[in-house]
Amino acid sequence: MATQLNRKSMRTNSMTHEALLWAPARFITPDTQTSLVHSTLAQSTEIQTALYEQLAATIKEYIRSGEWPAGHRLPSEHELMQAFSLSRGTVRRALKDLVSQGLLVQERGRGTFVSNPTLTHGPAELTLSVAAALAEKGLSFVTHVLAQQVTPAPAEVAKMLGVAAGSPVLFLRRVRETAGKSRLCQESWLNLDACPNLEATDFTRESAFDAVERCSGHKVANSAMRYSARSAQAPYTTYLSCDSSEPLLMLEQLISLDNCVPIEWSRTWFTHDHAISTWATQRQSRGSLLSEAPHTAEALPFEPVAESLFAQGTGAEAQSSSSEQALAATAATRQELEALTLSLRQRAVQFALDDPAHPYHLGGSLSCAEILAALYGAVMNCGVQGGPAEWERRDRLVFSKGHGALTLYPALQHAGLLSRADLEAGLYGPKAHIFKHPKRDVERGIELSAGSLGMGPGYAAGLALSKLRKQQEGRVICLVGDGECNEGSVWESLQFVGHLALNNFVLIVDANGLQLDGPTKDVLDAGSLAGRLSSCGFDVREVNGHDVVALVEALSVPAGAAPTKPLALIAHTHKGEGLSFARDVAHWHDDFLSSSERSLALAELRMTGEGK
Amino acid sequence: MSLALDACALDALDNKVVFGQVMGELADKDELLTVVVSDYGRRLSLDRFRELRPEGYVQCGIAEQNQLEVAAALALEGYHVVVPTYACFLSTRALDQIRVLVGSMGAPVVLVGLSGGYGSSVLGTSHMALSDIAWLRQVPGLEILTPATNTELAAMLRERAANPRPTYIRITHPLPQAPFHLSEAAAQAQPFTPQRLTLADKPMSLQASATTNAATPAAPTDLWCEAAPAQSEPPAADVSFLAAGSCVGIAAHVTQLLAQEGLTANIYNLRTVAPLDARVVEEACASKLVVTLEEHFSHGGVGAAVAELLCERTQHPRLLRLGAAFEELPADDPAKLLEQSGLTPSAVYAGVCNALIGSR
Repeated sequence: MATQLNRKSMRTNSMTHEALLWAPARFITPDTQTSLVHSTLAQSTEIQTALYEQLAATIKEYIRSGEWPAGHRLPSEHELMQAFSLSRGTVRRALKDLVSQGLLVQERGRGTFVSNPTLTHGPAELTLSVAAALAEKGLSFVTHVLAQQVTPAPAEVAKMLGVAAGSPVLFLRRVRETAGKSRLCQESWLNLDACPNLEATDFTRESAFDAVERCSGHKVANSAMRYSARSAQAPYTTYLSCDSSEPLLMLEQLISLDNCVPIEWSRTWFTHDHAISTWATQRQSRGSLLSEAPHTAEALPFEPVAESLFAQGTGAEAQSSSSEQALAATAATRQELEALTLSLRQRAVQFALDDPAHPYHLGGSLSCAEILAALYGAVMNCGVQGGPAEWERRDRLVFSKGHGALTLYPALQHAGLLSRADLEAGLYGPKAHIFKHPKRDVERGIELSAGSLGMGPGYAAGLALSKLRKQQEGRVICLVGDGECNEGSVWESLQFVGHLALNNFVLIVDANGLQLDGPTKDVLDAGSLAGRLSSCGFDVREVNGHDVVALVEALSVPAGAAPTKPLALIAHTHKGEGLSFARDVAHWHDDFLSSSERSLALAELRMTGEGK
Repeated sequence: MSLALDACALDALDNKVVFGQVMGELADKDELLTVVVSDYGRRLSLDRFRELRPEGYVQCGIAEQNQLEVAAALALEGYHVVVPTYACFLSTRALDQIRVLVGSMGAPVVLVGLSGGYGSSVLGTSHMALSDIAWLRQVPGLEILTPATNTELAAMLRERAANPRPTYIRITHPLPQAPFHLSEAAAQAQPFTPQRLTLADKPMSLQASATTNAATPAAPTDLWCEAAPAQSEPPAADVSFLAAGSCVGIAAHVTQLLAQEGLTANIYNLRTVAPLDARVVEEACASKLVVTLEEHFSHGGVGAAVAELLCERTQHPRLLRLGAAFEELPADDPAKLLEQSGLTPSAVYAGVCNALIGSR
C-alpha cells in the first residue's frame, strides 16, 4: 500500500523534539543487590543514582529473581523506610514508579503486591526492551528468529533511521515464547551505519538492545512509542498461534541512542495478555484512555505506517492505516467501557433485586451509566494511587442528581474508592456506609450529600474555586439531571461559574428527558438548555450520552492551551436505559420490580442469577 | 485601629463597620480567611480585607443559595469562611442549603446575619428578621450566637474565624431606648456560654476620658455591665432575665428600675441561644419569675427554647416571654416598632411588675 509520508513528522534525525513530546525514558540495568536486610543503598555513587531509583532497582531484583512471586505482599512503607533508612517520600516514589510500570499493584487499605506476570510496559518508563521487561517479570523466554536479512534501506526506513536511502539496514523478525506460548512478534529495522557488524549477531542468544549497545558503543536512550489495538491478521496469526478474531496490541517504537542517533524502528505485536499500566498515561492526559489524546496528530513521529515495508520480509499482505489504528484503539476503549457500563447497570439492578420491599430509582441511575463508566473508567484521575499530593489533585465528581446513585456506587468500586463490602452492606440501616441518596464521604469519593436537588453546581463551584486558589491540578465535574435544572439554584451557580470563567469546572447534564411527573418538556419547558448554558458563559457540547467513546472524547482535557471557559456537556440519554420495560417510562423514576420484570432484567442485563 | 478602641468607642460604631474592621484586622495574619458575599459587600467596610486578601473575597451576586453552596465547599476545603448577608434572607432563602450543607455535612461556615430583628424595619416587612433564630435552631450542630454589643461581636468574630465551626452570628442593632455596654472583659470572656451580668460603674478610664475625648462620648444614660464572678452562686432574686442580643440592655435598665422599688433581678446575657445551656434555665428557676427578652418572635425563638426546658421540670416559676409582636407591623423606624412590641425598658418594667403581682 503506497502511503504518502509527511516529511515534517518523519523528521527523526534528532530525537530532541520527540524527547520533549514523549516523556523520555532512560534505560538502566536493574541493580543486582539481593539481600533486603543487609542492603544499604549507596548514598553517593559514581552515577549519582537517585535513592528512589536504587530502591526501585532492588525491588525489581527481588521480583526478577522470583524471591517475591506474583501476589507477594511487600513490606509496609514503614518497614521499607526502616530497612533502608529512607524517607517516606523516597519509598513512596519508588513504589509509585514500580506501580506505574505495572510491576506492583497497590490496594487501598491492603498494601502493595507484586502484580501478576503479564508482560508490562510502563508508557513513560524504563522497560523499552521487551527482553528486559520479560526478565523483570521473572519470565524466562525463548527467542525464535524468523527473518534476519540485510537489505538496501527503503526511502521511508532511511528517513526514520536517518541514513542514506539504499544504504544497508538490517531487518529482523523475532517471536518470543514464554512457557511454550508465543507471546509477541517483533519486526525491526536496524541502523547498520551506527552498529557495524550487528547483522552477525545471534539474536536467539542476545537481545537486540544488548547487541546494539555492544556494536555501537552507545547506550539505548530514548523511545517514541505508540500503542494501538488490532485484531489478529495473517501472518501474525501464524507467528503468534492465534485466531484471526483475537485482539492484539501493537506497539510502534522509534528508538535512539544516547547520542540521539535513531537506531531501531520497530513494530511489536503482543498477544492480549500483555498489559500496559496506564498510570503515567493518566497523569499526562488526566486519564484519557486514548493515548493519543494529549498529543495532536502532527506531534506524533509516526505517519501512517508503511505496512508493505514491514511485510516485505515475507511478502505477506497486511492491511492497515493510521485511521484503522485509531479505529482499533477506539474499539478497544469502547469495548472496555461498555463492559464497565454493563457491570454498573447489573449492580444497580442488583440493589433492587436484593431488596424487593422497597422501590428503587432505576430510571435515573441507568440513564447515567455510560457517563459514569466514561468518567471512572477513563476520564478521571481518582487519586487512589499515589500519596496525599496525588489525592489532593484528583478530579472530583460532585454527584448532584442524588437519586441516580445506584450506578455511582459500583463506579466508585471500580475506581477503588468503595469496597465490595460497602456495597453489600446495603443502602440504609445502621450497617450502611452508602445510601440511596449519597451522603458526603470524601474518602469514599462522595463529595456532596445529595438528594435535595440543585445544590451540586454551587458546591462544585466552591471546590473549583478552592482548587484554583490552591493552584491544584484536577477538574471538578458536576453531574446534574435535566429535570434538576428546573431548580433556580442551579442557575445561580452556573451564572457564577460562567462569570468567573472557572475553566476547571465541568458540568454534565444527564438529559434523559423525564422527571417524576413526566416528560421534562411537558413539566417545565424552559427552552434550549444549550442556549441557556451558552449564555452563562459555558463552552457547550452535546453528545449521545450512551456512547462511551463520544463521552470520553468530549470530556478529555484538550491539548494545548488551557480552556478559557467552563465546559458544559449535554449528554442525551434515555431514562431506564438497558431495561426494555423501564426505558423512557416515567414511573421508573422509582418503582418496584415485578416478578416478570425481575426475570426480564436478569435476561436483558445478562445476569446469571439473583444472588450477589 | 480597632484593637485599640475601647468598648465604648467600638460600641458607638455601626456594627457593619465593626464587622469589616475585624475582617481587615484578621486578614493580615489569616491567609485562609474568606468572605463570601451576595451583593452586600460594599457596605461592610471590607476595603482593608480586600486589599490584604483579594483572593479571599468571593462575590456571588444576589444569590444566597449559591452563596451558601460556594461557602460550604470552601469551608470544607479548609478555608476560614465568613458569610455575611441580611439575616432575613440568609435564614430563609438559603435555609435548605444550611440544613444540608451545614447541618448534615457539617461545613464549618460562620454565617453572619446582618440587621437582625427590626434593624432594617424602615425598609419594610420584607427586611425584618424576626424568625431567623426559629428557623436556624432546627439545624442540628449549628450554634447561634447573639452578641449584645459590638465589643462582644468583635470577640465572637475573632474566635470563630480562628476556629471555624457551624455558627450563625445574629447581629442586632443597639436599642435606642437602652444604651448599654459590656466591659471588655465580659464581652471577650470565652467560651461564649450564658453569662450572668452585674451592673457596674462606668470604667474609671472612661470617666476620665469622657470629658477630654470627644470621639468617645459616653451618653449620660448609658449603662455598663460586667460579668459576675465565675462560679459564684447567683443571689436570690425576684426576677431572672434571659436576654439575647439587643435586649440585654433592656434587662439592665429594667433591673435598675426594679432596684428602685426594692425588687431584685439577675441578668443573663445568653450569648449562645442554640444549643441553649440547660444550666442557665435551671439557675433562673431559683427566682419567682423568668423573663425572656429577644428582638424576635418568642414563638420558636428564645422564649420557646426556654419554655421547652422549663416545662420538662416538675416545678418551675412563671415564664414571661417578651419579644417582637407576632403580627405584620408596617414599616417604620425600629424605635417605633420596638415600642409597639413592648420592647422598651418602661414597658418591660410594667410587665414584670404585673407578673410579679400575679405570681405572689
